[in-house]
Amino acid sequence: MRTPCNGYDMVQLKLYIAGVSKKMTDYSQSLVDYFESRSIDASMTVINVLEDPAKAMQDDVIATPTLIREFPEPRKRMIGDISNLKMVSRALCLEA
Amino acid sequence: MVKPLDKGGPMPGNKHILIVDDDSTIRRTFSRILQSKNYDTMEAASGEEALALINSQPVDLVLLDLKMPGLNGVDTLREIRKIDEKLPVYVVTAFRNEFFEDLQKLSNEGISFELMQKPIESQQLVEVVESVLS
Repeated sequence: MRTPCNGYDMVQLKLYIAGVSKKMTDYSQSLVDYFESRSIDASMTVINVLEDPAKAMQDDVIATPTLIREFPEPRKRMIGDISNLKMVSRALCLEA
Repeated sequence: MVKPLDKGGPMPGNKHILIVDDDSTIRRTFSRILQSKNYDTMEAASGEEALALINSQPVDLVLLDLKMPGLNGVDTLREIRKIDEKLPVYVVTAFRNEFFEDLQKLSNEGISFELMQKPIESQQLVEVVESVLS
């Protein structure tokens, strides 16, 4: 039986960032790899707020970096450091 | 105007936040909110004052306005990075801004910063600050 914070086999994420940096690109790839290693099919859309502020406003983004779990619903979000993969996974309720 | 730490100086162990804005109401509001969460705050009304404080005081986080007389936020950020490459800097701005092109150029040069929406509610401000300083 699926528990509230795990059991998902697919996740769609959206990451809002300020500018494009290698560090953030590496983090987002690490995050996708982390989920893949746990047999979770992960997709990530990265949005640079400087290039697409309208989208950020549409998603009520108040600061960067913001990571949004689009699927599975309900949407969940976290702001700030995404370098700790396990913590991110827990914050987005993808891991108990 | 440089307004260093209230309450007689920095509290040991507390995180020090520098608020840079030429609008004194915004500085005072941010300070009050953050002090209520036990952060030490410093205020600078210009980029020049901010750089002087960063050079002389411990600073853990900078909240930086863009539109200021003298050194604007973009130029201030560039100067901050010459002093400290890793100091977390949040540019506080509306998410549609004439400076975004300049910020993009900074980013392309490898100068790092984050963005915070302006205006922002007090709870959201605290949430963002805690996410950086926790």
